[in-house]
Amino acid sequence: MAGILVVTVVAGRIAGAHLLPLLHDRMLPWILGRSLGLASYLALTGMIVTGLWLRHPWRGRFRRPAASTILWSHVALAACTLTLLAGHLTALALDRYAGVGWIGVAVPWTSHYRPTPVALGVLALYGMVLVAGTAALAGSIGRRIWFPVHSVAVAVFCATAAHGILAGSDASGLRWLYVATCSMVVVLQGTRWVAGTLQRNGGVQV
Amino acid sequence: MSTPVSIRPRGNPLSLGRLAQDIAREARAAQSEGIVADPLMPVGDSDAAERGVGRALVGPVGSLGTVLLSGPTAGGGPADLELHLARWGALAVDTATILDVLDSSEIDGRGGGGFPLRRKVDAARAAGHPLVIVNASESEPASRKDATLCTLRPHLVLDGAALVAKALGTSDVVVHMHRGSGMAGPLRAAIEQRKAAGFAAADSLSPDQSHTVVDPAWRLSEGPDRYVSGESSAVASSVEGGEARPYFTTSPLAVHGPSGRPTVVSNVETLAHLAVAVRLGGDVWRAFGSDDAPGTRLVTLTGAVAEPGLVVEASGPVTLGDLLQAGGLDHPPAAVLVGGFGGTWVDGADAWSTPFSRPGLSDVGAGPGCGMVGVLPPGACGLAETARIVAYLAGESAGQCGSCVSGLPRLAAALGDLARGRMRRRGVRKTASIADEIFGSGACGHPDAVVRLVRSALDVFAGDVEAHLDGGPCAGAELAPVFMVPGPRRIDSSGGGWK
Amino acid sequence: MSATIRIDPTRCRGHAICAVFFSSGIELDQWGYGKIIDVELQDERALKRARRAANACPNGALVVEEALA
Repeated sequence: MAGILVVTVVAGRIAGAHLLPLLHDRMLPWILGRSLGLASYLALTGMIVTGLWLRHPWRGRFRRPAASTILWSHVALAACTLTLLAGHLTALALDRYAGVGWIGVAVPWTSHYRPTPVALGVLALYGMVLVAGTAALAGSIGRRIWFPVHSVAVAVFCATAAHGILAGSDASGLRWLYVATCSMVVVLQGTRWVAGTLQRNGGVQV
Repeated sequence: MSTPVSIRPRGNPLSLGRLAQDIAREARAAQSEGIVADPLMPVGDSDAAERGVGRALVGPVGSLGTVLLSGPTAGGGPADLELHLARWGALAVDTATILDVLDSSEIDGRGGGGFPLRRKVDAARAAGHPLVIVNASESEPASRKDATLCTLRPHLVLDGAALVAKALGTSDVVVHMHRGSGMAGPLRAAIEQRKAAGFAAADSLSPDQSHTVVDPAWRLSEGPDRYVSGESSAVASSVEGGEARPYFTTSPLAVHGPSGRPTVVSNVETLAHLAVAVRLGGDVWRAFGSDDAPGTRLVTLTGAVAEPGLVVEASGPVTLGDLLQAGGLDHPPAAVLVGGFGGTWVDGADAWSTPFSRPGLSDVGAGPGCGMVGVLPPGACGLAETARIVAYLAGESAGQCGSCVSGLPRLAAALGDLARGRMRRRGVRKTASIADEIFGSGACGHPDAVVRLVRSALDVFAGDVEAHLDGGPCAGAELAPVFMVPGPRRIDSSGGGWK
Repeated sequence: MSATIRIDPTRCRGHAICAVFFSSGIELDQWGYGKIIDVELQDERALKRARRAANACPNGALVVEEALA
């Protein structure tokens, strides 16, 4: 009992000493915004990768993960992306360090801080909402609308990657992360295109 | 022109009508002489040799002799039409009688589907402007019966097509075959003979009540020589200028073909039978078979028989054993492959007494299919044979349906492993479960045929499966193949491979 | 009510989307290709779900047909 009390007190002292000042730090929203943005970028990458793999001609060669697992991961990652994105926006709207502001996160090229990189993020946001919204309504609006709209996702990814690299204040430290995620998407999309073209032209050779 | 033959017999065909009597007499003569060897078959082309098919012979099996292949043969010469008319007479029949004969004869499709011709005709009659396609695309690599028929009896095939065209009130008939099959020559020659003999080409349709059967406007068409390209929807698609691949449709071709027209696709043997049945009467034609198997049936014998590629005409109540005897066997072989490469294995001992009829074969899990009967000799490895055939069939997928594209190569690999003794017990169960998943999932019957072949192999060769699991491949697996499968195809990278 | 659902296997690419919208009527094989459990749609609810699945399929592989009453 006493041990628990001691641990609590020590933890409280440490938290009070290190975290409380941080909460009052004017940098907090910026740091929070940055980390949420990075997290949503990772979720977005996962979503794009699962989506591309679901469409990939080579998927048939692998038994696992099953198509339904990939699809559900894709949907779950989309939900994650949107949630983290909401956090990213709120934090940056409240932030006064870079001063993007509510209007800055909603209207492209209105941010004083790095207008074009931020605008890319804003456009990607709208793209993402459009893609997710049409997909959620797929059963009602029909494939001729939702599926072509879904290919906007690749543009969303490109815009997001550019936004992350250009608007983030510590992109250099994350260079390898961006290289890895972007090359993953490029490789998947490239092989998908090549394999699809070969398959259409040649039929199947066993 | 010869006098129209008009026979309305009842009961035993052998006691009725001059023509039926002639046929019966010849049949008895043929029986006493044994198989009628016919050296006129031009099947010694390089492609046939590659397929392991030798010179084709024709002859009767069973008590009632040959019907389709009866009579003298001119062998594709200009005398063909004269002989044909001398034997069968010119066609003179009204539409009602054609439909009656289709009804009473119960002629079933002989390309492998076994679908009653009457139902196709009825479906197409209900709608407007039908198209008739004579399907001479003999896809089964070891089957020679369509080629034999088109070469030796092209006029029976064309007569049958003219009859269907008349019943449908159309003059559009297309004869479709695989490119390089060698059937175009004799068929084109036969059409020329008919034109020269003044067979009226139909410009306007004769009224239904008329007994005149005019020749339709014949068109010959060729498609790619691929296994699935002989399937009826692939044939229809190819004829209409599309790819010779099967396609999915919710309504039958006879109601709604690729261009929207009702399209009747019928195998050449089916049509030849109609030409005979109209002349003999549906009941008489029926009686040349057995109660379970109306009419006669052309059968290609292949594998370990005296003469692979031998085409015989089965008449009367015939067992698989009778057919095997025609192939020179005097006792049951190890196993019999019935119905084609996309057919079913039947245990040799069971097969011997199995009636060669749809119900009889169905009792042993098989069907007549394209009429191929292949013999696996003792000592040969049924699993190795099956592995080669499945690999060939997997490569012949049209590459359209997912389970065929993903599943057949897996089945082929699994059978290969099993044949080489590289499979464990778990693998056999997995193979069976892949087969279960593939079954019933394709737009055409191709994957299902492969699944049936694999299932029957695992069943009929269950003892061999155990031996392969325990002690590796058997000695038979190292022997030369009994069933020759065509080599892998060169895929046309321009995308035109299906036109 | 008489309505049917069929799958065009030549179009199906195994995205598994149909099974999300109509899980009671479509099962997936190990590659994700759809298999119709029952071609006949039993009630309005099934028909509605089948239509959603057909709408959502990116390849238009599902065919829902209603007989005219």
